[in-house]
Amino acid sequence: MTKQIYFEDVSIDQTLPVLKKHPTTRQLVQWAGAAEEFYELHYDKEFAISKGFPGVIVHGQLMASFLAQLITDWAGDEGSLKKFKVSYLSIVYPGYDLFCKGTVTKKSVENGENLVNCEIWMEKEGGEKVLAGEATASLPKR
Amino acid sequence: MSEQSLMDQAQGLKDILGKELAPEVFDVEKGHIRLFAQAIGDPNPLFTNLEYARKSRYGNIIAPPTFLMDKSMNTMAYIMMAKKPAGTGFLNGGAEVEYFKPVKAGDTITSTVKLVDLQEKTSRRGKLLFMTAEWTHRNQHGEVVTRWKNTFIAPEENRSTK
Repeated sequence: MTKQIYFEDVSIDQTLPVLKKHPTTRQLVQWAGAAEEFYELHYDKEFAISKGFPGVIVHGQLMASFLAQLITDWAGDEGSLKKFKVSYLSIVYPGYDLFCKGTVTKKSVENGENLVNCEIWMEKEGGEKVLAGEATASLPKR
Repeated sequence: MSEQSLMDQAQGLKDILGKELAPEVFDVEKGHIRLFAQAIGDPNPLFTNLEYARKSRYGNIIAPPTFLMDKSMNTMAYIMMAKKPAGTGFLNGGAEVEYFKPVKAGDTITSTVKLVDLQEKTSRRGKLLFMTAEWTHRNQHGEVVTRWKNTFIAPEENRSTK
């Protein structure tokens, strides 16, 4: 894994390294199997069209998983995700670049844990936010 | 658009509000965690590499943060779909999770869920029914590992994502 980040290294307004994703229809099928989420809207184009969509759409939970990865990648092996909140803002179709981003909003020590709050979101190319939320991670001290 | 409120058409949901469904029990398998991490495209070796994970502070493969959410969402989501007002759509609005303990390969998880909130709101496109469920996941030691709330939305304008 990448180099461990420590609580002391983190400052307010610091940005997290951007995590780029590009879900394909293949990945949606892979996800459907792994998550046991077999709703046809995510892999059957005719079904999606019958529901009023131009095509299959990306699972919200897959996108939430991308945002969780943003935090677990950043917090490293010694850090951990404590709280995680996301709102789904718009429908996303496969085949586009998605960028997971985050900014540190708060640092605190509670019950001996070094906590960092982040605003997190996912945007499409052009900057439209498709998911937005908050995360709290605990980080080790040096 | 109907003049009747969505809440008035959601008796089936009101009936189960606050009532815990029968628990679901499942084993967390190493191979399933690997498939799940691969589906996310997350190469974190804590999820996939046993040798690496054994040397970590966890001493074992752990599951990605969203693993239990997906394992346990369906039963309640399908109940909501069946009991929501006729003709409304179904959207996933968002999730809120608290993590207390790591979930490790070999754990046995007991998941309980109840509908905790029903609210009607109005947007410029019509009425919306917000349905929030709360899941609690416990491991084989009886420890709460995660608590998770998920809100689904049944809009009067029917374009369903569920």
